[in-house]
Amino acid sequence: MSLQHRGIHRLGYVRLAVEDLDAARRFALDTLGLIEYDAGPASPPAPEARSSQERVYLRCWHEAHAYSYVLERGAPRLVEIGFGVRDTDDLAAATARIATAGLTAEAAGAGEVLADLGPSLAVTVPAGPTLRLFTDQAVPGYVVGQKAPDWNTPRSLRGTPAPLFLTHVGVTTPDPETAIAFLTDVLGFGVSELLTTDDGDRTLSALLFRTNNGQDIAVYLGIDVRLHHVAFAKEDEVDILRDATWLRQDGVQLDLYGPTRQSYGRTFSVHFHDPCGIRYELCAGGRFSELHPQFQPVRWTEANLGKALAFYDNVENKEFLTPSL
Amino acid sequence: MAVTKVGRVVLTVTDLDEAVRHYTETMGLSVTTRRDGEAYLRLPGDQDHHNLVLQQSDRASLASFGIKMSDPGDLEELELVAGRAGADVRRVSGGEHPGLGEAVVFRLPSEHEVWAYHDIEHIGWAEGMENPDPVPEDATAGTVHAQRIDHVAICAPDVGDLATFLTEVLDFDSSEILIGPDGRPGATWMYCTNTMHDIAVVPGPGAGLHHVSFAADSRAAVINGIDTLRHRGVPTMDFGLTRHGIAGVTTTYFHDPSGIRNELFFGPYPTPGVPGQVPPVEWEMAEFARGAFYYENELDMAFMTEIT
Repeated sequence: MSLQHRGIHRLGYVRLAVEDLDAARRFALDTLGLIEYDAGPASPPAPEARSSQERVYLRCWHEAHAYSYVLERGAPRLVEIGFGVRDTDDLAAATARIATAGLTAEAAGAGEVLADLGPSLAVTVPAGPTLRLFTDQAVPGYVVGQKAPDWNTPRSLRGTPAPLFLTHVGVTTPDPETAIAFLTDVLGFGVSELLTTDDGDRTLSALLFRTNNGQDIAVYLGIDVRLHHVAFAKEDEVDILRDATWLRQDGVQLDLYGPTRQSYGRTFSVHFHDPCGIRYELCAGGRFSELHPQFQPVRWTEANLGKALAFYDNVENKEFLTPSL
Repeated sequence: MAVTKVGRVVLTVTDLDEAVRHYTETMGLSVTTRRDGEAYLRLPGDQDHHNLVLQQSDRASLASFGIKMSDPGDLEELELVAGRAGADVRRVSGGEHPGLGEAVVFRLPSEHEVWAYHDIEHIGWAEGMENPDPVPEDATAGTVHAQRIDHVAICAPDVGDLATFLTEVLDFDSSEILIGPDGRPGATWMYCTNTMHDIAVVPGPGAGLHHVSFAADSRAAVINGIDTLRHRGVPTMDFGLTRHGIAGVTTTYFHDPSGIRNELFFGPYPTPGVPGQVPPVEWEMAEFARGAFYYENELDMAFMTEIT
C-alpha cells in the first residue's frame, strides 16, 4: 500500500538548555501549567534517567506522547527541535535527501539521545536550527485517561494556562532564505505565510508547516540562529485573556502587545518571558493549511509588519523583534 | 502520497434556491459557480474553488464526498488499491465539473460515493492573500461564519468494516471509538489530518448521512452562531448548545431547508495525522450519554436515529 502520509507528520518536542534549570522547570510547571513526564512503574526502565538534576521532560495535558518539551542544564540555547516521522523508511528517505543536498544526517539509535525516543537522525538546517527526526516516542496516553475521559483541564493545573499541546517553535536566522529553502526543498515543509521586503526581493520571515496547523516552525530574520519563542496551544481567544490575568497575578511581565490578534498566521496570542529568558507564546487559532502543491502562502510586505504582528496595537515593540535564548 | 483533507461535499436538495440562501446567508459560504440545477460554493477558510455542491433533486441526500489527494499519481494508485479492495472504480475527466480536475470515483463498503481528486481551481483565502485583515469579509456579516468543512459523519451498516477500509486503503486512524454492545466498533471518529476527525462513522443504512460539520473559529463563535440561528428562526437541536464528551468540543446541530443536518463545531484536538501512533480513546455504551451530550448527560433519540 502506498497511499500513505510520508515524511514528518508532527512536531514532537523542543529541547532547550538553560543555566538555572530549576527556575525554568518551576516556571514551566507552576506558572505555565505543564506536567512532568512520569513513565510510571509499568514502563520498562529507560536507558537514562528521565527527569534528573540535569534534564527534565515535560508535556501538556492534551498530549498522548511522553513529552513535548525538554529542558536541560547548559549554556542557554535552542538545542534541537524534534519531529515525528512514520518509520525507518522515512528516516532513510530523509537521510538520502539530506545527502543529496550536500549535508550529513547524524543517525542515533533508540534511547541514545533522549529517553523513550526511537531511532532518529539529526540535521542542522543551513543557517537554521538543529532538527531531530524520530520514528516513535513512548505513548503513556492522555493524563485524563484513555477510557471515557472528561476532556477537562486536570484539577491540579487549574488556575494556570495549562496549554493543550506544543504548537510551534520560532527561530531567528541571519539568512531566512537559506533556512526556508532547506526546510521546503529537502524536508518537504509547506509555507503558510511569507513576509518580504516591500520590493519582494528579500524574504524576512516565513511560517512553515508539516501539520495542518499552518506553523510548526516560524522563521524570522535575526542576528544569529537563536530561539525566538516556544508556542503552546490554547483553545481560543477568551482562554488567553483569562490566562493572561493569572500570569500577571504571578508577577509575569507580558510582552508589550499584551493579548493580541496576530494577522500573520491568523492567530490570537500573548507572549511573555520566564526567569531564564525563554519567550513563551500562548496561541489559539491559525489557518488550516494543506501539504498540496496548489496551496499558497499569504504574502506580507515589510510596510505591513505592524499589522502582521499585532492587528490591534499601535505601539513600537522593538523587543519583540529580538531573539530570546 | 495521501489524502490531504475531505475537501468537497455534494448534496442533493429539494429546493436549490432555498438551499443556496441557507448556505450563503445563514452559514457564510459564497457561490463561485451557478449553473443549471447546480450551485458550487466555497468556504472562507479554504483556498479551493468549492467545498460544497448543491444539486436540485426530488430528495435530499449525500450524493458524494470528495477527498483531495496530495500527489497527482495518487489517482492511479487509488484506482488500483480501491479496485483490489473490491470497489467499483471509474474516472471523471477534468473540466466536466466547474473548478474540478480529473477525479477517480469509487464506492466505500458503506456504499458512499467518494470522488478523489488532486486538482481543483485555486482561489485563496476569502480574506485575501496579500496583507489581509484577519477578519471575515463584510459580505458574511450576519452569518454563523462557518470557516471550512470540518468533517462528514456518515452511516455504515457495519462500522468496523468501513473503519478497516478507511485505515487500510486511505490511511486514516481513529482518535476515539465507541465500543458497541458486541465488542466491535459501534461508532468511530477518524482522522487523516491533524484534527480530531475528518470522517465520523455511525451505525445506519448504507450511503446515509448523519451530518455535515462546519468548523467555527472559537467557542464564542459557536455561541454567536446559535444566537444568529435562533434569530433567523432556524431550529437547533433540542439541547441547543452542547459539548460532546467525546473529544470535548463545543457544538450545535440544525437542519438546512431540505432537512440535511448541519453542525457548527469548534474544538482543537491534536492528532498525529498518520495511523498507528496513538491508541484511540475508548467509550463503552454505559458512558455514551456523557460522551454524546456532556452537559445534559442524556441521549437525544431524534439526534441518534434521524439520518438523511
